[in-house]
Amino acid sequence: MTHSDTHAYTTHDTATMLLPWYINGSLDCEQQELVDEHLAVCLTCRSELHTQRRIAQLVQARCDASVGAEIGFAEVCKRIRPAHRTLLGRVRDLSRNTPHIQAGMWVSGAAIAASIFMALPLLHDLGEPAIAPGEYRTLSATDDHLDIRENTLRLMFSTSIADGIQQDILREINAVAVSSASPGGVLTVRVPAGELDSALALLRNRSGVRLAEPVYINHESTGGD
Amino acid sequence: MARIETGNDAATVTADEQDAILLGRIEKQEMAAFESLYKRYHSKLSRFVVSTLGQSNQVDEIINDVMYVVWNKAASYNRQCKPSTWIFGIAYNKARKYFTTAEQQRNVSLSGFDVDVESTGTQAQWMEQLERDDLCTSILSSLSPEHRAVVELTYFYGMHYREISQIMECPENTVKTRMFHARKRMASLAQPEINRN
Repeated sequence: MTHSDTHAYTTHDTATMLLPWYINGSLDCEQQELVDEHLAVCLTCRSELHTQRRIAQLVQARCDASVGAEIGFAEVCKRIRPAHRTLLGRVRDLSRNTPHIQAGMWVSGAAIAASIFMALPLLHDLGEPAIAPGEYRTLSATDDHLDIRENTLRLMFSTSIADGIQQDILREINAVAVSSASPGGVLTVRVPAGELDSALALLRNRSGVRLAEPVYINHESTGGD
Repeated sequence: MARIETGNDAATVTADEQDAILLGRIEKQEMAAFESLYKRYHSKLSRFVVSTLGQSNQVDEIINDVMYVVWNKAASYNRQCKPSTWIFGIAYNKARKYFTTAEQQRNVSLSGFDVDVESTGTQAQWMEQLERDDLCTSILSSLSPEHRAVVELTYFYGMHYREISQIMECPENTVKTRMFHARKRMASLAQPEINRN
């Protein structure tokens, strides 16, 4: 085989491989020129070009059933902001396009609110909450009498996060387990002194971490530590 | 090419630049920007995922998984590729993982993602199927998901093989080779129809 034969063979292979992108017009000038010159002298490639152009037309003409973007966007919003979806928000979404349902819900809502208001005195003495006093921070608590218990935090992973990845995340924040996971999947861990803020920032930045909160001690409450 | 008014001067912005602007705003947790990007990409990603998987089940879930990642990882988009390349890359990986999980549940070999379906019928039977089904859908369904992805990205989305290699995270020569095998198979199946026209 002569040098020119080898060169021609290589050019043919190169041009053949580039044909699809010659068809879609994405080749740069040098590549396009190479294919143009080769097509002028190669019947095989011209035939292949015709076939591929037809196939490209079939692919471009193929229609697919459209999927509702509005519905999809509403679904992904639920994942982004699940904590902000209050009962009122869900009711609003449901009745947005159904005015008669909206009117009915206003009437129902007013009746329910009135019932709850009248029943409030009966709910006052239903018993002590199961959560021990001082274990959780309440809205009425101020920072003055709050302490973070020994650089301890609670976290909960998404169920889609594999165990191996969970362990990697815990290693990243140098966390040591204080207790085993609760039935609800909440872990209590301790991080090195001075690293709590950075650990919380890292955890809250991870999409697979559903919850990350320090464990507070409320010195004001009775029975607190 | 769209025109966006910026201050007193009108600027002409390409689609890629628009997407990059939206990603910058999404990084700042702007929901309106996210909604715009979602609607710009929803139909494109739907078609790509349906085409890659060869069926439309779970497409909604996959699209939402993709856009959820876009929302959470907008800060990690480093502008070294086009926004569309970055987003399609996420979609391809999600589709691939879904395919692998589905195949595992059916106890099928995990190599099925890059294996074309062998035609088991005669040419006459194939032509009968063409009369019943859309020609292109029939042809594409015989390809592996990886081959289908290359064909779609090339012929429908008009992408260069360099961009496709970034999306599929494989060498450029691998993209060319996959396309070569895919088009040979497609040509053999579509030849009667092409000759008729």
